[in-house]
Amino acid sequence: MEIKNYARPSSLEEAYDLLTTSGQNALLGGGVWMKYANRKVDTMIDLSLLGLNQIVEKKDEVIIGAQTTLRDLEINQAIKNLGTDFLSQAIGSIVGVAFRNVATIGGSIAGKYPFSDLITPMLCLNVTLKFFPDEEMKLSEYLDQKHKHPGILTHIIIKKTKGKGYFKKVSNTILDFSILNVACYYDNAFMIAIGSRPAKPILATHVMHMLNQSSQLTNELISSAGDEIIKTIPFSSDDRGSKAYREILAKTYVMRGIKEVTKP
Amino acid sequence: MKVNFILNNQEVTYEVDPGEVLLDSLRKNHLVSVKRGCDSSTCGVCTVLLNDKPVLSCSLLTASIEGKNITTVDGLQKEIEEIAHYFGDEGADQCGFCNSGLALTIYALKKEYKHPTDEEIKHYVVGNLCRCSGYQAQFLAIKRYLGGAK
Repeated sequence: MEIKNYARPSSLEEAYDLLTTSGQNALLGGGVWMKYANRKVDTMIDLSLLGLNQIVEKKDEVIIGAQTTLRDLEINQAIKNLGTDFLSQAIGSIVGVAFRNVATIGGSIAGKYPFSDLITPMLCLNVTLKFFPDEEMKLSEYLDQKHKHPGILTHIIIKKTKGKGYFKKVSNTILDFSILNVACYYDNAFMIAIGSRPAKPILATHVMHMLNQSSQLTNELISSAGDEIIKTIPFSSDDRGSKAYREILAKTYVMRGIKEVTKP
Repeated sequence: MKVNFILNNQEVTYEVDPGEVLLDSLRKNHLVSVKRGCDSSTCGVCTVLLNDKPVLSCSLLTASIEGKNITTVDGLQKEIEEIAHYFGDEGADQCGFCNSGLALTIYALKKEYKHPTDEEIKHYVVGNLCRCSGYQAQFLAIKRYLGGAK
């Protein structure tokens, strides 16, 4: 990536003005994957002076500044309390500490990285994204958008719930990208998300509906859920794993996840 | 553009390209203790401390560190020498290429955790790869360093 100019605005208004001045201006997240981007940036906009690196716990929600590093997120107690630590564990599986001290939650979400081990578990929670100047939307809605969002992602708001979560990353080594990742969450209803398929993470809505409509969770139902994952979620092949391998992994870990989150 | 920061307790000003990463800036300025490994945000060889936290210098824009503290092994000679003794005692060294990044990570670990468990130690240093010595001797050396054993 070629960068011509570098700016550190002192207000969101100033940052937004800069961003909307030219289509060749860009926001700086953590910057860890930046070197792989094949683009020319006129002005790189650094938001570090805007105090967007705080995690604030409120009664019903946790509000996370978009510039918060993945490491700060991982070790924060309010984040650990979500879904019996499954989100912290998922974040902790992303490369090493020195990487997570650079990468930010805002950069990870805005990048919509298909291999993200952060987005998959977050899809299972009630997550709202807040953009400057004045827009809010659900994480799943944002991921579905084809166009680049014109605003600045400032905060990520997670509603607190008392459910139980499960996360599984399958990779060749701890430091590798996921071949597949699976997250399950249960709080009177099931949420299941699958990422690194290798396409972007998505919710397994058909299987969630099937489980949530049933009055009793039996081994047969869990087994059917595993079969339905393969039928209803698109998987494909890349250099990390084949479509068939991903399907077997997804079936196996979705079934394990359902059992794990419903354990007394 | 000019970037002012504190490098090993000294105020410095670097003239950099806006897209330049810290690893390149440091090495251009003769801080060659900071090594270039994978150059793809993975191996941990290029680790430096940013405000006392380990970061990958290959993945950090130099422009973004204005006013911050950067520490390399050159700024922690006494502490790094102590770590090196434990590594030597356990035979945890071979080529030594990964040592500066690993030593800074261990130093940061000791500051962050008072009494880390074995799992916490492994979780903290997993991002620092070593291609020759294996990890058991290093792990024992780290445990002895953290425990203050002689």
